[in-house]
Amino acid sequence: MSRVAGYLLVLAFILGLNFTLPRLLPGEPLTAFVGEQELVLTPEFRQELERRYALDQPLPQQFIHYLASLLQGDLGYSFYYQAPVVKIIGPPLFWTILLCGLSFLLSTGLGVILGVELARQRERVWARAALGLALLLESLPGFLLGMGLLMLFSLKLGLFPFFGALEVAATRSSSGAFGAGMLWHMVLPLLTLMLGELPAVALLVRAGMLKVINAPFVVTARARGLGEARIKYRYQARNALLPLITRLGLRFGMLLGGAIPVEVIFAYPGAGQLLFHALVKRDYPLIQGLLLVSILAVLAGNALAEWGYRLADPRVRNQT
Amino acid sequence: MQHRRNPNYPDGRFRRRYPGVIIGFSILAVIVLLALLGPWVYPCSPWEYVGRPLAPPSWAHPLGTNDVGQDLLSELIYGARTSLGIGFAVGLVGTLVSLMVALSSVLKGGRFDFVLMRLVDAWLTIPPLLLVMLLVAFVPPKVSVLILALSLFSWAGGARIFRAQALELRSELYVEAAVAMGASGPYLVRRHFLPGLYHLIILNFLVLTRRAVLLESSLAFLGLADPQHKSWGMMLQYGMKFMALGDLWVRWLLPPALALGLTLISLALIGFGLERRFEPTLRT
Repeated sequence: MSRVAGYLLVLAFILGLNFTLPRLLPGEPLTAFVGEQELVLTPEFRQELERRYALDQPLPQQFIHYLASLLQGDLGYSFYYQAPVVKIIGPPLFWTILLCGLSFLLSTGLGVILGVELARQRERVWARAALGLALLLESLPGFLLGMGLLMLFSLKLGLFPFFGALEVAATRSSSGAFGAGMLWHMVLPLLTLMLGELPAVALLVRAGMLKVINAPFVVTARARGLGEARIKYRYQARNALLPLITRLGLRFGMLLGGAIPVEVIFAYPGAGQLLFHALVKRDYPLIQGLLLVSILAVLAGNALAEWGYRLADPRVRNQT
Repeated sequence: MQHRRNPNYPDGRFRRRYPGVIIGFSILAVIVLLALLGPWVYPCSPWEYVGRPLAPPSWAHPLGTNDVGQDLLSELIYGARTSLGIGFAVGLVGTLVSLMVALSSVLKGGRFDFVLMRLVDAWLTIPPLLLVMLLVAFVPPKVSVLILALSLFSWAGGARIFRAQALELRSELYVEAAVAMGASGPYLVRRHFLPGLYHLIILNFLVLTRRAVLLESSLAFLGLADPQHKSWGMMLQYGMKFMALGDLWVRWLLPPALALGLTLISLALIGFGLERRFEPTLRT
């Protein structure tokens, strides 16, 4: 129950911030809604706009008006793109979800396998080297990795494209070439995101597994003649499951935030890049709309993790 | 020369057992010295136009100049001041706030503790990079604003860890005894909680500093940090536009990338080593 209260608290905080910040701007509050063009508006149109955003009413009414329009799916009107925010964020969100979702799935899957092997073969030379490399990668920021990959593979070796998500003339090509071009453009940004995420997952699984690597129940399982694959995944790696779920829930919500520098470097037309451009253009309604969407993703991630606990741990399940 | 020995390791085993800590400290010390003494050793303003644009390296300007003729080496030095300054400041402020929240929570207990901890739970779900980005879109991102904003979103994790440890301390017999004899809150904090938490305080400070350096560099790289202060992220942002131009990247992108990478790695090495030193169960 207190969890739900926590979610509502976060949502209320963000909504409050979204509501307050534009009204704290120095000068005309209208600037935050329509941009600099506010200066050249005719008085009639200005009044019309003020009525539309309820700026002529006292603050509590303004807030109610703000909430009401949000509930109707109105995230505001982007003055840079001259379109409703809801319409603009669709396609970029698709690209971000594609890119980040793929990175999320791949780095989780590969990270678990790598973590399991790192723990079981921890004395081997390769595992020690990989452990060092994982710690190194984990401490570097995503944009640095991205720049390095861009330099090496696009600039020096010319293996991958510089920017974008599709070939320039993609609409005219066959569907096969279309798909290939899409994958081709995705390789480097995907690799960058994965290099940031995979080591963390592997280290987490390794640490959780090492705690029970020679636990009595593992020895028993071996004595019963169970296969090694069953022992390592069903018995040992299971110990890392709860922290892994926590981490995945957190990461799920932070995908957009983490994707911003990477999408900017590779000029990938996702929501992160859109947010970046909105920030540069001071397109406040668009910034706020994107922020709200990503906070909803954060809360969804947390709720999913909560649900994951219940599936994974009978102690949590039977608590309430 | 008389060597000062760590009393826990009279034969110098510390160095052999935790080489990461020594290496990390050495790297960090070099970078801190560069930030502190750099402007005296190499007196050249990063804002002055000292040569023609994109001038190649020379004796006077070892890394050459950028696209408007400013010295790249002094940009690197002043960048170290900004990045490290913000990092350490956020580490300090964030850790202090965490401590205050955790200790007042444990000392007061009851409903106060409950509400505060729910607040911490909620606060932890907010992604810091996004929120700081939103803030700097509305408030001009001066260094002080950045420090405050980054601290605002980095105290919650530490508060939870400190509270857990302080609760354990609180139930120790010697603390119970002190409370029974009427020890005051400040006395308990000074005599029992701070000494019992000091290793966590150091680790938390390192983690927060590392995160702040990382976040600041990301913001600066996106052009969202203080434009009045040169920073490594800013160098990388401007340098990236010229990355395809011959070997320019070797003296424009590589130095700040290395400096940033080494700072982050050294902080991670120190933290990782000390964590194992403090927590014997982690030694595997």
